[in-house]
Amino acid sequence: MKKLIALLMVAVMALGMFSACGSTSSPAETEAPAAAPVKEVAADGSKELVVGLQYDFGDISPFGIVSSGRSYVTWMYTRLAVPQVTAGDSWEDMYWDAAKNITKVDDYTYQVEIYDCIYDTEGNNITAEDVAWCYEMQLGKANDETITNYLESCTVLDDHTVEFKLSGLGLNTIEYILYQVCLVSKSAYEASGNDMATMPVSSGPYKITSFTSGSEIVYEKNENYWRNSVGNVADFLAQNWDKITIKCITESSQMTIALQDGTIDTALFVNNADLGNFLDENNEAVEGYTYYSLVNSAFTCLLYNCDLQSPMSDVNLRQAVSYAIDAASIVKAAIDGKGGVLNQFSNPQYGDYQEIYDEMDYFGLNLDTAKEWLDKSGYNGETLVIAYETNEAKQKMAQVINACLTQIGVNSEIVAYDTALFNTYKYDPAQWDILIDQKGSATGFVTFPYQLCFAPGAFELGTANFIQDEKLVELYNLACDPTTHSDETIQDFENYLRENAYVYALYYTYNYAISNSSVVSDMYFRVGANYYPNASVPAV
Amino acid sequence: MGRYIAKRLLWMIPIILAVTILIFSLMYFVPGDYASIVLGSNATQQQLEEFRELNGLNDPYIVQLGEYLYDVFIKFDFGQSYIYSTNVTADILERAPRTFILAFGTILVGFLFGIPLGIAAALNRNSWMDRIAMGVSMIGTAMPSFWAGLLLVLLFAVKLHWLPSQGMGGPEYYILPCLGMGLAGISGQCRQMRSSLLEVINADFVTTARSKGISEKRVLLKHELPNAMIPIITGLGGTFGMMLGGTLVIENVFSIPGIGAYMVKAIGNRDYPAVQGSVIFLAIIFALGMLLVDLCYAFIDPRIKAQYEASSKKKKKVNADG
Repeated sequence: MKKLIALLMVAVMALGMFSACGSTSSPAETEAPAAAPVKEVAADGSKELVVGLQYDFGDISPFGIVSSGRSYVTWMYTRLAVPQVTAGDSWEDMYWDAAKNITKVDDYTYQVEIYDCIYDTEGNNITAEDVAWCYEMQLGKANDETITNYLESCTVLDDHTVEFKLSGLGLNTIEYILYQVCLVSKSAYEASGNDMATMPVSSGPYKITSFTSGSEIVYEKNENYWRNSVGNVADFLAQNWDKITIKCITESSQMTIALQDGTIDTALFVNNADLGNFLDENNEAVEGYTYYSLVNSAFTCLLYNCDLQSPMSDVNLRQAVSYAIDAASIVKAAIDGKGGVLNQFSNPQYGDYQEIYDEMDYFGLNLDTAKEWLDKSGYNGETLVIAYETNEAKQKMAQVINACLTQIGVNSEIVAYDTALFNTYKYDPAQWDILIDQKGSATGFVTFPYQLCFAPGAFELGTANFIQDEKLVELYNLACDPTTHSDETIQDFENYLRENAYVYALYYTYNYAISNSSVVSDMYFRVGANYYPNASVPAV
Repeated sequence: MGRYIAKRLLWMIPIILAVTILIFSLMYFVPGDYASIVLGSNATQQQLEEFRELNGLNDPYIVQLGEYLYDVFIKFDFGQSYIYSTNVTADILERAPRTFILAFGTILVGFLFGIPLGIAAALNRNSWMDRIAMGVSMIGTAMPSFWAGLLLVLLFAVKLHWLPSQGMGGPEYYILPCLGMGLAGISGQCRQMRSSLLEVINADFVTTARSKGISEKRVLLKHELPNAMIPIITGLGGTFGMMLGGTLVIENVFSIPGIGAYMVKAIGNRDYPAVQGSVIFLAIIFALGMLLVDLCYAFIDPRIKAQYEASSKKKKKVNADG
């Protein structure tokens, strides 16, 4: 009897263990995906959309810290102007929202006239004084480096005109400044008592009616939306829904479940491993769902430590490592093939992406060449430290790189850091030799990631990866100065990065947003990346 | 008893002060700074340095500690969250009820299922019932709460559609998280109850009670259970503390915005005021919980109440004598 019970218990425990170790292959390979729940139409005919967001909302106040979650929930604020075609639009191509007229006085001075009929949901009229105050508030917070670096002042010229003075010239800088700051009434902000951190008073197409930190935000249509009286309302300012709820669901499997059981109508991010529940083997949405895939504006790259203390300061070793890395395998392993290999330190989404490199060889996997470079290097068997910020995809990526390096006889170890530690240690040359990093562009130009890595004077030890190279600085200045920025100067800089193997651009990714097609027929992403739930199209 | 409670409450002050200094120091000396979180990977070293200076992060340790202690103990203010720009005290008070419901719910699940299971196991020692109870207990201990929670979601939310899979709302939203977390509690209570009851069953006073001809049911309810419950009550304070800490994971899995989820986000972002405020708040609750448990002893075990009273009378007598 005892043996029987012991065996039974072992069987139960083994079953439990194995059921936890499920395959990562898509369920579509083994079983048909479950049908999408059909949402009932409200009795009063009102349209409600519930969206699942993978990030915590963070700070929703008008001048809060830029975060991943914030950009998805602060669309109810009015801005002066909004990019609408690509992130690299000139200010003339942008959609002028609060701005009625924008005049360029000189390279450093812009005058912006605003509409006189901008009212928030509490009836406060937003004037030039409010606009100038908002920009001064944002400057004072010092939490947006582009605004801190380039905006000198914003002053009132008359009741409805402000003047911007820039302190420096940068590509797409004025466009960024016009878009990035949320406009609110000074009196409403001060009356809120908590910097509008929980119940902002906005003047956009929707207003927040309920906010539960870390859980959900409820928006309702702004019946007195000022822009409706002006006309020419942009698509992304549409009022297609009566009520919109954004729920914070950080656990990826719970996001999938919430979409399947009808808790949410749209999942803004579905984990690659769960996509099989919604897409078939031909990457088409299964019945009951619709999807939107978009290229993530960031890209993943390797920075090589060029400090003299690191073995990677040897250009021959950097070349050897670059030729040993199999980028295609990394894309497959780290992001399940949901992305593309890069041939330049840029992203196809950027306005100055150089298509010429798409047809040219980057480093590519070539073990013979890698070994030749390795023989030329002074590598003596040191262990290279591969560092990354804790993340499942980057962990897999580090493992592939580690295996690639082993193939040419280079030793390496993998070290993971949490976000705060990673952002601290990446400026310490003693902590890593190869850094797995991600770069994006706030301006929509490749010069932005250049600036993040190579801006002269911004780093104690040369560049973000500790390069001391005057020619690099010279080429950087030519590529990034708006007066000399051109395809040629970009390519000169890019070619120099390759020759010296200072960095290795690896891949960009696709993100998949999935909706229940009985509720949403089409999702709306402005300039391909910014989600506007209000502009998503309801199913008939 | 009143003096005892007052004394214990006064003792909490140095304890909370020590916790405050400890958590502040830990957060101060742990590598990784808030400036890099705010400005992100796009910030240069120069910008980070300017930001630190602007926000007083470059002040010496002792200055920052002094300011923090003044804010907490004199102004009763935990400060403003770096990440949410909201008042930490308000955030904690808003989130605490959800965490308490989870913790109490989990303890309740443990008691409701674990104690009857433990009693059944003890009363039927070495029988099939005992073995099943111990088997269930072993599985419950071995299974991580987040995994148990997800299995429950698959069954009750996805397959049966009886309960919501995640989020916040009415009481039904707490059932699956409490069950997921309570599984380990069931196991713990079951094993504890079994061993306590087995000890008591063989005690002399139980034999005496039986020899007086009292029914088995009465022996169990009046003599065995009250005595066997004392170690369970003793562990309750610690269990409650563990539950408050244990909600970290389950709140994230079920998207419940409680103190656990708040702390996880705050730790990852080096949101010092939020982490420090949450830890201090939990320390206060924990200390109060332990005090409550100590007071419960007196009501359950007359011997302990008698001790309090004897000690009080002795002191009064000494004072009267002179």
